[in-house]
Amino acid sequence: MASKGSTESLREGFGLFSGEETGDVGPVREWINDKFMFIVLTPPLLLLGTIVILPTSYLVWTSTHITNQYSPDEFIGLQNFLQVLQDPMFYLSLQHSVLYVLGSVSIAFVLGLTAALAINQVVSKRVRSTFTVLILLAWAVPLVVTGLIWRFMLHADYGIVNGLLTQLGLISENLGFITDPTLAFVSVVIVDAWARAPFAAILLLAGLQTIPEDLYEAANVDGANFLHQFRDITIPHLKPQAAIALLIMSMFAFRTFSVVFAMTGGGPANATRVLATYIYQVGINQSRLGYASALSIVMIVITMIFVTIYVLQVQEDALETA
Amino acid sequence: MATKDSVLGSERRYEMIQQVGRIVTGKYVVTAVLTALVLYFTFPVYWTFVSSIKTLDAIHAFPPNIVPEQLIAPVWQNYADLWFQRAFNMFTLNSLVVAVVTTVLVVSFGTLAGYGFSRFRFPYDDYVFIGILGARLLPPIGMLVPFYRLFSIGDLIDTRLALIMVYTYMNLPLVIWLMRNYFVSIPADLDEAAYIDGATRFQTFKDIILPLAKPGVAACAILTFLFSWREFLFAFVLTFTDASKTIPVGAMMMIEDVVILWNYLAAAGFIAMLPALVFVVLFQRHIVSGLTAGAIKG
Repeated sequence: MASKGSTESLREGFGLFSGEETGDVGPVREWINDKFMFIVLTPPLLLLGTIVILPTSYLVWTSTHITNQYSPDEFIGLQNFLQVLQDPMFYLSLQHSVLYVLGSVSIAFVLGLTAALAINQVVSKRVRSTFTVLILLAWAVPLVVTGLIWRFMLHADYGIVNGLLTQLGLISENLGFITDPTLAFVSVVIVDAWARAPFAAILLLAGLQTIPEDLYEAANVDGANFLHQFRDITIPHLKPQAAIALLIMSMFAFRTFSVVFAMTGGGPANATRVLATYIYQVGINQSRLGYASALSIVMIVITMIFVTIYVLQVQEDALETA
Repeated sequence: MATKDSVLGSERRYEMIQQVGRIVTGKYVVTAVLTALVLYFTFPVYWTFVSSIKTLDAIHAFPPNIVPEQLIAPVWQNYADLWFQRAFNMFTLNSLVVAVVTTVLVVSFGTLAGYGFSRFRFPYDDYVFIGILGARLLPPIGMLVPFYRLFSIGDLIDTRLALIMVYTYMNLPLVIWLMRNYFVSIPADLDEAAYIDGATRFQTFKDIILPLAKPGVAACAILTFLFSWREFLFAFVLTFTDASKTIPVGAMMMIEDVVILWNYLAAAGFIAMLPALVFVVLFQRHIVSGLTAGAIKG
């Protein structure tokens, strides 16, 4: 770990107290006093340790076994993993997941950035928070409901989206947003972006508000127009927050399940199958728990790459400055 | 683009263009953009509600009216049917119990641990802490198989307790991290002053520091409640009777019929999103601060 500066001295400062200053408070209280660190940290860490370490170890265990409802589990070493590497469906769903992340996160980022920039222009605090609330409503909708309601809105026969496009004269025949393989994938990505964009807007708005106002005033005096200001002030100052937003949104988009499951269930013809729905199908529908565990571990390892970048980038900073 | 070259030509004309540009970008464009975005983001919520007060026949009409007559004469039958015939009274109770118990558990344990991490040092504490963050960032779907099987072995499947345990697993790391950051922002001088004045460590925590951390606790409680309320994957896999299903699962169940009952589905969806909508309107600031602190600082 790099130096943690103020945080470390702050925490150690308090930790240095011996407890003798408290005077006579009785044996029980004194014990609580002496062991206070132990008392506040042990129960949460024990609880967390149990509900994290137990399933994690079990995941590793099942991934090296064939699990069958009718016969005892059989140890097969790393065969499940070898099978993952030869599984065309794994590569297909991985490819879909990557495309999904790229599409959803970039659309959500652009939408979120637009919203953040626009909200940031609003002077009145009340109007500003009203807009924030209205945009956050999309975030508040449970993801499975997002999927279901968009599935309804995109319905080929009586969906409102087809209705609107027809009335505007843009299409003459209803589109099968969910039934056509290519359209289905695009629809799923756009709906996911719809649900993700408010989060991006919130993060980027927080970032925008840290940029000092006088920078823009100075730029106005110098006669720089909006685009110049955006390029020379906003983008450089927003970069750290934007990077974090992209990173965390990618992590969340990569694990996506509910939206896809509710909208298409992975179909039509596997066109929208992503890693998460594949793991669900193998593990729960087909009861191949061992193989699903191996897939899960591969997915976790891929996520670890993002997590490592995130922890290195964000947490070091936060540990230093918090 | 107006560049510096044109400024040399005519300073006044350039300033006029600037002025016009500022008014346009500063007002109309912003208003137009915000209106369009708000319409885009709120329309599905509106449409869920509108569809939830329609009959199935009205839903099958094409093209649908954006402002249907049902807004004046709503059909509340869908909600009544869900509540009395499709066990939504049970699902609502389950969702509430699971979300409330999880929130109480996660927030109390998370606050304790957050305080501990903000004030004390112990061997390898940074590694433990990074481990907690890692637990939060890993995809929950990866834990689907072990949780599913362990709960089956332990005979906990199809119980609320199983859901509470999974949601604790998913939310506790975030709350520890948020609370730790919140406590770090409260100067340790306050602890020391109280301590020197003769307060015990517990009193210091309870009477001095915890009251100051209330906004942080509120943000954590709201986020945990919403995350538990909206969770679908585990609720779907770990429950199979009405006694433990939650509202998002109940909404998804409408899709399994041969004919999808969109009117019921919309009503179920609206019930599922309702608490979140209310929370967002009432506690917007807490949600925003929790989300940003949770992402930017963790």
